[in-house]
Amino acid sequence: MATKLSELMLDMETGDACMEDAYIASAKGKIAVSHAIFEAAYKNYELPDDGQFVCYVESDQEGIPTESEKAAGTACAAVGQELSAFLDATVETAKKIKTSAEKDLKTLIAIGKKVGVTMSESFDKEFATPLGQEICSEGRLTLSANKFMKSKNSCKIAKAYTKGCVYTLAAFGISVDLPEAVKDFVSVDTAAGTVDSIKKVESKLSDGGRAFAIGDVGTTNIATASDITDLALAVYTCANVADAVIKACDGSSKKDAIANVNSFCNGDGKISRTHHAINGDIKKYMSNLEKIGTTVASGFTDAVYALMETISKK
Amino acid sequence: MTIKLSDFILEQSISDASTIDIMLEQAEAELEVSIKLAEAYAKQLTMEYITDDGKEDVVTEADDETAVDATAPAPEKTDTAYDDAKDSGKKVGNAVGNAAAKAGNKVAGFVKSIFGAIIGFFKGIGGRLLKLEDDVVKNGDKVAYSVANMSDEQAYNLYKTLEAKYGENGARTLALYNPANTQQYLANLSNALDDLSNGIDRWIDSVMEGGPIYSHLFNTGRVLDKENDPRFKGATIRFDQIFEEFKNKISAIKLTKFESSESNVEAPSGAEFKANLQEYIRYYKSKDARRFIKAIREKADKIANHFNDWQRKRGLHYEAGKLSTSYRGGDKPNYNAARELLSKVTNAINDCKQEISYISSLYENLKKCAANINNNVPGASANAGTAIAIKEKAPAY
Repeated sequence: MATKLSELMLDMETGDACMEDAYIASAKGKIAVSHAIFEAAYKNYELPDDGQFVCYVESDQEGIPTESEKAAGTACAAVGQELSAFLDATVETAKKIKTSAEKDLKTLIAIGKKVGVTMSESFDKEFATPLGQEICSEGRLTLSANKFMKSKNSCKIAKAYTKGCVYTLAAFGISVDLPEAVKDFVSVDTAAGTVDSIKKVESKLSDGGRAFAIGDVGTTNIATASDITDLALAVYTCANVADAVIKACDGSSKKDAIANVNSFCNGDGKISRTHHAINGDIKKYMSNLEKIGTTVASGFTDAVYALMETISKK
Repeated sequence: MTIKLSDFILEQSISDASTIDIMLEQAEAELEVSIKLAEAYAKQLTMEYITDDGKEDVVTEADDETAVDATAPAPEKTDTAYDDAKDSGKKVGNAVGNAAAKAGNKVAGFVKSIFGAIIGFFKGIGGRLLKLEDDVVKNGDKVAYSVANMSDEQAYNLYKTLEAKYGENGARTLALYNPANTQQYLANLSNALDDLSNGIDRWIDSVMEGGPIYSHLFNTGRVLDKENDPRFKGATIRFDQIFEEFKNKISAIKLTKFESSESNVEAPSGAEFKANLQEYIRYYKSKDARRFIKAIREKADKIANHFNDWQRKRGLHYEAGKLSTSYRGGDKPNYNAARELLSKVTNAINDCKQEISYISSLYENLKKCAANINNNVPGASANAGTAIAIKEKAPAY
């Protein structure tokens, strides 16, 4: 299917809002609500059953159990809801990123056509590298907008996104099948291994949630050949990782994984430190995921758009 | 129910979590989802508008000869919005009616989601006020007890702690302790909610019964000729005006926030600060203040319920569909009007979000002050260990 460049540019220019944003917001909301339920139930769990507490009166009205054992069950079930919502958010973010990165890739291919570089088997050696060299054949390129990313930033984002996705899905026992080119770019073990306890879930989720963190991402209006090559590789990586995440969670695999993880969230009358740790950190992980999703969707697109805009004017 | 201070402190030592937080988070989530939907609709409509009107030259590059081969590595499918826009563009050329229906459906979807957002917003306000009231009930006696046992020197140290911790906001926090300011804030908020409630009543009445355009549409379901029928223009303006009015009513609450100009307050002596704190607590613990907060919450709830009732009685989907028909022209969809509507209403909702943050800030400041008092006054530390000692001194309430 051929796509008009003008339509691609129009799509990029009108922003990155998409229906997936609503699903991501919904998952984020589910995490926040479940977090609040956990906190309310945890308080009841910790307090003596026979005391007279304001929170008991409130809980009775809202249907949160006040008896310790039942409150533990509610709190742990809330952790299960948080986990399933985080997986939903990861998959919906992957859909958003896939859509966006594909547009960026098509635009890069169009830029390649303009400068005489065509796509072939090896994306990095036969496209990304010559693309950067050809565009910067006369030295560094000054862009019309200060929206380009240096190599260190684009690579950091692509690697963080890849590792974050692989580890997060591993927390649910889901392995991600990545292309060799991506594995070469990001050194990561994609085998999920067996997930048979809440501790394993927490450990891998912690790795994933932290890996998504990218910190501040600066932009520039100066591009070198290696910056352009690395941006192309980063976009390519994110598109493929997002695609792999969607495929890995397709069909019943996501449902089965959530059911498995939820089986560790029945509480058994106690709230473990592990449940507490997941509840304590998952909002931070969600924030990391949200930021990296936005950065890939709008940051990469802005960088590619700025490159296209400059090359068109040359 | 009588609750001992020791039980209260034990409860607070675990966390300040409350079931009200659950409701607040739910309301926030509804609001966020609705806004994200509105933004996605807005992008789709913008793209369709540009595609439809053949204005591709607004983009930098319209070199159609560089059509991109979408084979590997770029996956074959493009995004939904893009496909929609492209498909819609073709339909406009080939079958105007289909595109008009599509635009109408998008506006209908947006109107539906925006009603959800508005309801979520008012639920949020109601919930926050409930939390504020709840906190006053919970913390009022504790704070009063702490302050009553404070020396002037301790009071002065507390003030300096606040100032050091919050910088200029320390002075703002001090202003917050002034009962006159608090009372004025609540009064303004109450008045703004009254105005808003009345405005919404008039808005709903006008939508349902007021304008000839709507009664005409409701009665006949006819699609109007937007160029030749003056009622179409009138209705568009009316609808926009209504939302503008709604936004203004919401913005009125903004007047009540604590402005930075209030930071020119001189630092009080320990005795003055203590007296001020006591006055503030006296006011906040008074039945008047609690009645005030309750009344505000009830007003916010009433507005939320009003929307809910309207939605239930009239059938929101049906009404949204009817409203959207005013954005369908006789020849092609009126994207421009729809985009303007989206923009105005999205702005109004974003303003509403801003107001929520002011109300949250009031509440958060109250909590910070209470926490500082309890952390800085001997004997008032909120941990279970000292609860027993306090129990001997403090009366049950």
